[in-house]
Amino acid sequence: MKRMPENDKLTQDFLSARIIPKNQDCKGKPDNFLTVGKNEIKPDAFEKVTGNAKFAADLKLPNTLFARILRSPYQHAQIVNIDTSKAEKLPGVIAVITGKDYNKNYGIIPWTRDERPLCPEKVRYIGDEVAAVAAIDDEIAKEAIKLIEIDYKELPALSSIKKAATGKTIIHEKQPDNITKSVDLEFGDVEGALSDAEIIVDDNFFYEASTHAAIETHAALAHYTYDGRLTIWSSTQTPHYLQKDLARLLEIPESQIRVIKPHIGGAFGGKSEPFAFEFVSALLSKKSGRPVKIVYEREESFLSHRGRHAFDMKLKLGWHPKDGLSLDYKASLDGGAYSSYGMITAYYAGALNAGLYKINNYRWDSTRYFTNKPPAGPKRGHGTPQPRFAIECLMDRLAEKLKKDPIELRKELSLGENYSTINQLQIGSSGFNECLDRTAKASGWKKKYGKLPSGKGIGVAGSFYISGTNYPMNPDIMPQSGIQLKADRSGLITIFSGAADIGQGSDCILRQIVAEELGISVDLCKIVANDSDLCPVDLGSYSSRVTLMAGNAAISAARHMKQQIVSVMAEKWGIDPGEVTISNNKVFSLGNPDKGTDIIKAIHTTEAKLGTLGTTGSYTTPNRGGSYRGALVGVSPAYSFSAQIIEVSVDKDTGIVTIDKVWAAHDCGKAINPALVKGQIEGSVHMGISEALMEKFTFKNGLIETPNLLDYKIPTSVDTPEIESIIVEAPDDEGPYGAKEAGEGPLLPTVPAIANAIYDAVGIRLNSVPFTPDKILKALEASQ
Amino acid sequence: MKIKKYTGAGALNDLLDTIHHPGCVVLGGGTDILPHIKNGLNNYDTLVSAAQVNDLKKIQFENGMVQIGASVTLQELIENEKLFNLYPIIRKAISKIGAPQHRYSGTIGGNLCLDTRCSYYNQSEFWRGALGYCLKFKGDKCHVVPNSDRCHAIMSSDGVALFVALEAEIIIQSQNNKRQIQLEDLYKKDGMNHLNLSPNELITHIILPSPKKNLRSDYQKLRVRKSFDFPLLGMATTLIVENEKIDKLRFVFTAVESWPIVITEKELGLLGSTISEINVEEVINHCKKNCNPLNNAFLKAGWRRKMIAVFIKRFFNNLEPIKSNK
Repeated sequence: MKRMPENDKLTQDFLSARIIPKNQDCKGKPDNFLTVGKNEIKPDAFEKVTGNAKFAADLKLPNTLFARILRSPYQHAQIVNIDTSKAEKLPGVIAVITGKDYNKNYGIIPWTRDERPLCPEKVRYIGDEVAAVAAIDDEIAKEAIKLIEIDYKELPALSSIKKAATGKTIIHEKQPDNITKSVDLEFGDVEGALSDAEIIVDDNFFYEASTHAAIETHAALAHYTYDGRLTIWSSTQTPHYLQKDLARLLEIPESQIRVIKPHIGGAFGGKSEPFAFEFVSALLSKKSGRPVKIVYEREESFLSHRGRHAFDMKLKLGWHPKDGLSLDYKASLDGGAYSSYGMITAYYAGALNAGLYKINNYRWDSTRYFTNKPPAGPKRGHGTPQPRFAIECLMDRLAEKLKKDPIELRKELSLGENYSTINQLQIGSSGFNECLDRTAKASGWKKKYGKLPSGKGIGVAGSFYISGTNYPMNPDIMPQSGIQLKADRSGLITIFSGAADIGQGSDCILRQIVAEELGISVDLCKIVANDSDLCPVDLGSYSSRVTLMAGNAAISAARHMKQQIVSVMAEKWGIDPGEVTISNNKVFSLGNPDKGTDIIKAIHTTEAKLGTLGTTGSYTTPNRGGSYRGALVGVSPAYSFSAQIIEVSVDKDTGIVTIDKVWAAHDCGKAINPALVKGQIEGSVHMGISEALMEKFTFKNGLIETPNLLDYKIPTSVDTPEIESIIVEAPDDEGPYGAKEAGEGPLLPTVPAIANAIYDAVGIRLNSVPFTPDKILKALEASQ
Repeated sequence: MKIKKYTGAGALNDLLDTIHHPGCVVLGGGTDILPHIKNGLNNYDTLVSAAQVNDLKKIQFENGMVQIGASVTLQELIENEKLFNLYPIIRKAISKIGAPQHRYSGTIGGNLCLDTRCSYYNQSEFWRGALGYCLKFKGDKCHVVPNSDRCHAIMSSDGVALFVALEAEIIIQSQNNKRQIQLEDLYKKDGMNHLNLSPNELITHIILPSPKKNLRSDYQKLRVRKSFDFPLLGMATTLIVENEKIDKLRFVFTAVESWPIVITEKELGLLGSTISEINVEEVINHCKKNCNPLNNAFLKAGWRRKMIAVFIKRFFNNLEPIKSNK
């Protein structure tokens, strides 16, 4: 295990005591934390509730130009000619660019870069970007893009996986089979195990595509200045990757690019890679020498998308009293026009399926196809809610065949702590059984399951999820996250962090961790985040990695600082550094607490002795992972666990499902801020309910049918049931104070728990998400 | 078209003068018109707000009749206790329109004039351009029924079903004319141009008759979410039984066709029948025969049509007995 320089005493201390901080006041008891475990208020809370927080669309600079992008009205077409002359002549237009202005492709995965910010030769979906204009106001920019004349030669379009598989036309020349990635792996002897199985449950499943629908649409303000420097304020989850790709595509050294992430109005995976709007605003600024702002319309955010892939799945789950579970799983993914994260999605489609329960034989065959639709990518849970839905539905059927309570069966088959799955994932702590027990108790499961009146039902499902990924998109030898601390003479500790707070509250968590380690109040900790000129690198807010990775980096930085202060004060007082601690803003000797001094004076003394006081900390993931090709996807320092029980009412006349209540237990290792953990659980459940019952990212002639928030259905507050969030804490050795993720995992059980509850209510098994009333009514009619 | 002018009017005459000019449209709360402008679905260049015209902002009660000004907001209709006492159904139905923000700014005049809606029409300029413009705006083809010579956009107002069921009348004024018609007669069987209203005319008031003794009424709305959504089907029903005989039975369906579909006791052959003589299946069949939704709204038309039966059954199942004839 390698995370920090060796031969560093603090590192050794850190490694030996990660769950309980080396804070003398804790005395080994986690409940003695000063601030960890408390509902501290987010540092941006007041700004946000008073409307003062600035999002990318709010930003203005003198002489700012406004940009608009012209998009393809064709699903699949060759660009024969582009004539921008009329647009260029329109008064107020300052710059016009097309695909020819870029020389390189972009793409978040270095091996599958297949996109240009503006298409040079070919368009691959309705909405693909073709040209862009910067003008003195938005109205002129809008007018100008209408004046750009493009001759297209239409090509046959592939609207479905089925059509893509026929290969009658090719979307990317380099991939003549229209496949982004195909994974075919087998662990154990699946065929043999299934032929020996005593019980087999199998079925085909479908999970509809959906989009993130963050309330803030994508927006950026780019400013290229005379000194050759580019500054961009962008609504991004991954500022570091944006900096790298801007440098590559605009041919500007990385050192001359400053990426600033302002407040973000939700992301959910939809802002986790560089997008056309960023490259376009940057290049238009470079061309015009003026700041350029671009704000996507709601429809443009739907088109840019990178949302949940639609999955067609076929599963066969076998059970044997001695050999346990075996799973044969096949999935076809509708990837849309470009790769995006798709190569990784094809792996996530299978990587987490052999966990949660002891699956002893596992075959996985997943293929992501290109189609002429907006590219799919990562949405909360990235590639795993779809198979988890299918598996948890099959577990319910297995329990029924075994005549066992579905919760008892899950507990019997759950994999427990310190377990290596058949596909070589190393699970550390697990609170899964506790999640099941506590939801069962809270919901009154035993009195309700199978006993509610017809039309009312209750269902259960479980899941687990990664807390960050061990292997980042751009693998290198450097840490995944860094933190820098500066102690001011006023007593203020400034935390410089590259971690992207996208609303989840990671800035708050880092502040709590630094305060905890230094024994000071959170008011004395200020965070400066997401400015690449000022802050050390963090790879971004994706894969639920920030609390664990940036949190560990913060612990490391704070311990270095504490050590310096403690050493200087110990020397001054002529005692051993081990005798000195800091608590409640006071540095004192354990033997003589009255002899202490406040933190401000201690900082002064330390600075006088050592010079300006600043420290750094970083986090590198432990060396883990299996030996086969693809084994590194799904490998995480720690795994969270979830269980949910959901009670529903099904209107048998209309097919309308009402969610009556959700009990959601989530093992996040240690809740550093329980209110934020509950916020993540509630948000995940809401999104799960939305996908289960309403969301349909569907198409008509290649056009998204409902590219607006009136027609694309997401539950309103009155559609959202009471959610009882239950925090379970099974601390993991890898997490800061044992903490694991909470932002994505709790979404996974919601959809299957609803499906299983509907079965309990009205006896129909639903294989196709979403469970819209027309589908339910049809299934009810067929069952009668 | 780009909006060149936004203006308000202080008095009704000013308002009528202003709209006399072509390219002008009256704005109630703007909850329908403003999204249209954003989507490039307008051919007017002047917006005139009726929000400050005092003559249109009153709810007046006279001789048992109710006169509601067109600029009265939906929320004001919900909150008016006197109106609730006369017609409790108004609060129930209007509360189902849009979300709170829409009800606070939207007006009843605007609601009765709500443009018909269609999944091929209520889209952005880019979307409609990519598919090919439709009959209702800029195009020559209906995407819902490709060979149709008329537009099939859907009447989507809950308020229309409600007030047609209550047999409301409306006062329409222009600079030189004033007329009073049955609300039902405002609507034409054409989704493209669904109002019998000249560009220089304005609905100024809604007149409700004195409520009949024994009036029972109901409004049911089918939608995916409990707020915000337009109806996928709406059914307003009024029933009057005198001396145990049906005097009036009116079903008004919205979100089925481009106009409100009205089915009366006479068509159903139920005038003078008793409640127990009603054959609910026959009522359902008759209504379904007249209601053929198409696939131009969220969820399938077949399911929406099936729900007609559910609504009718629920209306009769939930009928409360008349407490007293006094």
